[in-house]
Amino acid sequence: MNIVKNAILLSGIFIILQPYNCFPISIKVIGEYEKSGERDSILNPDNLLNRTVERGEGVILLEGIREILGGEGVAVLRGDAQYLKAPYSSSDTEYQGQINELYYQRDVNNWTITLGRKKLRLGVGYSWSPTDIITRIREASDPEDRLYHVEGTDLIKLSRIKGNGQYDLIYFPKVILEEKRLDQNRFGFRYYHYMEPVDLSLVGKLEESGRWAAGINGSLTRGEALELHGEYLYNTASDTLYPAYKENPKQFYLYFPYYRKNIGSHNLLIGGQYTMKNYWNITLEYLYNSEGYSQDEWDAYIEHIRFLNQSYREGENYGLAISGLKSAASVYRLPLRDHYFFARLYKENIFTSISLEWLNFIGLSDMSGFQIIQIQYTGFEKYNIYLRLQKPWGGASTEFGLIPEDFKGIIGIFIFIG
Amino acid sequence: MCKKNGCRFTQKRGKVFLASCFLLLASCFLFATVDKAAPFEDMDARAILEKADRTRSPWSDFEMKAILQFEQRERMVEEDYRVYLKDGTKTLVAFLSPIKQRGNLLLMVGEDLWFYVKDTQRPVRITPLQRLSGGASYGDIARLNWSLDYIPTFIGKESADVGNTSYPCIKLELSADSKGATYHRILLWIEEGQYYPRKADIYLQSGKLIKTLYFTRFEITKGSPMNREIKFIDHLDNDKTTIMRFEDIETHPIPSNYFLKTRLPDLSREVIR
Repeated sequence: MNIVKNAILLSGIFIILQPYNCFPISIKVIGEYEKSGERDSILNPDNLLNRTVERGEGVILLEGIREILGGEGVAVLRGDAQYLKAPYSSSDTEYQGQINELYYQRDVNNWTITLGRKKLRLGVGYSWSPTDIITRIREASDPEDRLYHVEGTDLIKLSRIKGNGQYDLIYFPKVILEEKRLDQNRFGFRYYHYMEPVDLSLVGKLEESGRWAAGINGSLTRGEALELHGEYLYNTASDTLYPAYKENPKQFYLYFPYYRKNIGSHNLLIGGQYTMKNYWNITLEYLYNSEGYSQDEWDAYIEHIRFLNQSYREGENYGLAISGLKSAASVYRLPLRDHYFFARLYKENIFTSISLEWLNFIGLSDMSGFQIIQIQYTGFEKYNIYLRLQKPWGGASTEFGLIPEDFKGIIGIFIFIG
Repeated sequence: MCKKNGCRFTQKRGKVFLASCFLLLASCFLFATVDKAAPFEDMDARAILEKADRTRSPWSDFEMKAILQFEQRERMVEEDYRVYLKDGTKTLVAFLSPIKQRGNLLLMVGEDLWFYVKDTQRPVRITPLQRLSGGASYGDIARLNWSLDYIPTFIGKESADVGNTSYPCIKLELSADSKGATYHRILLWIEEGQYYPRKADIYLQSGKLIKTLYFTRFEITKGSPMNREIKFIDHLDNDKTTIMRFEDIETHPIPSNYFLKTRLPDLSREVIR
């Protein structure tokens, strides 16, 4: 870390390590042990990619808030010690520190100014939020970011509240802290309005490069316990790499041609959540991602991976095959197809102090997916313990069938110190 | 004589007839008056309920600390909340303790109730009847004005025993009339003259008695009488007792931006300071 990053980290520590009676501070400590079963995915035969099979992780999250110059300074710092065990590398413990949030915020009448790093959530979706265009917070496999991986965005935000509405103007340049420079100017806005029973937001961003995105999200309440929500975002550009499906995949090892499409993308999410009479909470969402691979593109991608597998198994161009698989794996990111369905069931006290959560994410293009079950015991005053089980399913050539890990079990403890 | 007698008899019968007609008319009038009295009593019932509500939520804007005490695993547990109320229809409840819940928020705007979990950054729709802690429901802390959500009906006069004291009361039946209502049906005893709520029996739609609330302490606060303590008896959990106390009451305009969903992430830090 360079001087700038150290200075920022120290200012966060300064906010946090003030006398306790001046302001609230909270400390959370999370410990997790994870064991993964290997899966002979065609993307990772014999675990060639050296995926982790065991993980031990300790996370500490320090959060402080302090009155400064008539406003408030907020610091959320995260420290992480991670032990990873993979078959072809020596086990080692890695330490990492990060500034999740560090900002100053002040309210003057109906105006609020925010300066610093902050998580800014604009979307309303549970599993995924296309309109989270400032800070990307949601991920279907861990919507609640239980280990606090997500960092805030460096921004200056000016907000005005008027009646049931809120206007936000945001300047959020790409900051390269190590090089002490701004990489790209970016501007965002949101207009939010609440008209009972509807919340509606218009969002947009414009980048120095000329790329822009604009969208809308909203939620609607019906009856006593139903909420419906939706999001739509149009983005002028896409970063997705597509396989050149018109090429013969067997011609290439490492340099199979991937390309970016010079077209805009559409993302849509429609969903709802309902709390039943017996307090089960159910969330259902449908996601559409126009950046997803078409069937031809997917077939080309899979065919190329199969060709590399065959080369690897037959010992023909062994090294090149491994490099090709690594290259194919680097392209693999979720969601890679176009239609998805998400379901979550949650109940707080299924038995005394025991909560149950069940997540299911299904790719409708090939009916593969994964599911997660988490059981948490909350009966202790200052800590919770949980068991999290995750399993992907799908055939060898399906999107989630490519995931290299099979069954994954995690036990964890969440300690609250105040 | 006979004639005379007959005349007298006839006159007497005429008077009896007239008296009977009068009585009949009077009865009809009386019954008609009683029949017409029902809506009048209902109107009165609403006024009585509103007066009782004013002892629970005396000002349009105020904030207070709510302390919940209940027994959990054979020991007493205490939880703290800061409650902000505006215009009688908007409530923000910030969870201060236990530490696990700190920063979580409960937002009620109109008839809609949301629970915001700080770590998930997403408000979740919940029902007011869901259990907050001990024998208290979310709606018990988020909604102090029953007159907004219920239709009151005058039942009669009946004393209510609270502790060792018996209070002469007006008994009302409250029937839920909005989705903001926490309970389906309430029998409420309101002290005559003072209009303090003294006791409430809470029923499920099935007719099952689930809770009894005793309004146990009233104090003159900032010049107005205010209910400062409620005792919940949970009939679904071995009649366990939960006490809800209200302290540190401050009357001042509560900012409107406390009741916007977009502000919840900021408020979860701001209001627990």
